[in-house]
Amino acid sequence: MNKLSSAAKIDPDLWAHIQAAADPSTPIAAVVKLRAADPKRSRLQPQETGRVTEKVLDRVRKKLGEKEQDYLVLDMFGAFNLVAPARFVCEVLKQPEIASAFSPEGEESAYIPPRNVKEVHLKVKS
Amino acid sequence: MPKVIRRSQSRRVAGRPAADTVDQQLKLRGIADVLVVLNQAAGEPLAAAVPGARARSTFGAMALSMSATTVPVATDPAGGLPMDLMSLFESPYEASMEAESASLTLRASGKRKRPIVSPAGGEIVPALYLDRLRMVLGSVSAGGLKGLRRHNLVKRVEAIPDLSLIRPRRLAAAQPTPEINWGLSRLNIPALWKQGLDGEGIKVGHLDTGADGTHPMLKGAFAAFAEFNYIGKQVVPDPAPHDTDIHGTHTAGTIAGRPVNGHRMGVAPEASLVSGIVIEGGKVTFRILAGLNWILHQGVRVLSMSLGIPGKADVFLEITNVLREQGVLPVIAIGNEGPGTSRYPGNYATVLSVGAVDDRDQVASFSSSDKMPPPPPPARIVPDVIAPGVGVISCVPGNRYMSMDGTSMATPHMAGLAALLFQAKPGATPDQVEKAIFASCRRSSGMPADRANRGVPDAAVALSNL
Repeated sequence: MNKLSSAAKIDPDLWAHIQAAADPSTPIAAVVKLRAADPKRSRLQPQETGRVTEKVLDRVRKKLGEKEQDYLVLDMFGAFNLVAPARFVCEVLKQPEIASAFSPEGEESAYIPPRNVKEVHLKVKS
Repeated sequence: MPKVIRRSQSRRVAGRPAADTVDQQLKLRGIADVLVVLNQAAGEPLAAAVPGARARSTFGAMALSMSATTVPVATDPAGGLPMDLMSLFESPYEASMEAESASLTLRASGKRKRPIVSPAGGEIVPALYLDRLRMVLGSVSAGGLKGLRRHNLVKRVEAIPDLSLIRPRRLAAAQPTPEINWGLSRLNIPALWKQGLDGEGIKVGHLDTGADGTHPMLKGAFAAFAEFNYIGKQVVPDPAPHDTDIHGTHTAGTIAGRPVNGHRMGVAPEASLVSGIVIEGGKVTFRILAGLNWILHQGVRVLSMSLGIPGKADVFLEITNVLREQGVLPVIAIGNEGPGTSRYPGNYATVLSVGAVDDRDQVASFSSSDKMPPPPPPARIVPDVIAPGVGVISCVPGNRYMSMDGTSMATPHMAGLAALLFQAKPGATPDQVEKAIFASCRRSSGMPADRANRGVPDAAVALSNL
């Protein structure tokens, strides 16, 4: 995983995760944004996102002879969540349909702990 | 959450010599604090000796320290003692429950007696029943003393020795909940209710730890509910609304909680919730993205997210743009880490970020605030507004209620307000609603601009601005 030639904008954290993978089969998580077909638009249309995602993944599956672990199409955002072996992710990022990608790793929680939590009882109206 | 037992206070009976007697007390004060030792066959549990007596407290354990020896004793302040025995006590022995979580009310039931009752009503506590010691502590008049001495369950009556009774005082922190949460009044929400605005027909997105759909405040409040797996796929079949914590039920209640027993805690009590579990478990970014994507298919007008990741990163920036483009106003908490901090996506320019204010119009010390560098220029202060986020009472799972502090609690107030405004003007854009809210804000002297930014909104003014 020492070389990635991609026109896509790759988040350094994601690239670091790929490089740090112990072997090419180590699963890597990535959020991958697809390039809009219409350059005037900032993202792919919802109805196209699923189709393009499947096209890209299928191409990579055939090339590498292996499958991703899991993926989820984010149609409203023109993107998809991907968990796949490092070499698979690397190959996906090389595809011309990919605009950018970033790593979802690093944050274990978005929970904002409340403070001063106290139980109360409602006064029952007679 | 287990009841927190604390705030016990040692109360020494002031000015009373150790050797005084019941009769001396009666003579001096007309009333005497007595320790009643009950009859009991050797080895026989009191519950058997005293019909109806319970072995454990319904309110929480109490501790009794006698003389130099501390003897923790579980008690049952309500006692379950026979009424004819209880009625002999002159006034309630202030068997104040220490559980901060318990909200007891004092109900006057006559000139001289002030029985302590449970919030559920009817649980009279005329005396402190120490079940393990087979004793009762109470105050009696001369007539009551006479009755006690004649009662067949009473072995003897003594003056309370010079004891140090570790017991809480009457609950100071356990005020009865108001009929309308202070935050709703502070935002002038009832002014909108009076105009018939209650959120009906408006869907509010709610991404949190889930929400308990069985709670009376939330029954019928859900238009949709979803849970997402580690990568963000929806768990099927759709689960019933439930909470993996307490946080989400609390925030959902503030947005759209229905009135319960006349208590109004929901800002938009007829709004529908589109709620998803995205906090905790799996990859949080995946789950939040999936939740946001799902929300966009549900026809919501407002998104309430009392979550965030510390720091500054543009991971969700474009997505918040999509929300706006799709007619959704994202309302997001700024964080609870104090000045000079913020969480994303609450610190984005594309969201309505919310900090916390207390009921004295002071910015809560924990409320995050930050200066965000351009773009867009100039540097922005976050949060955009502050809203009630201290002592916010709302529902939690298990048909319970809790008071919590946090910008997570302030955020659903603003989401609810936005829902009311969208109901008033369904054709309004997120930008218009946000602008109307911003223009209604006022800062008081306890709200420095770098902490409160625009200040606290006024619902009625916001409506007139729309």
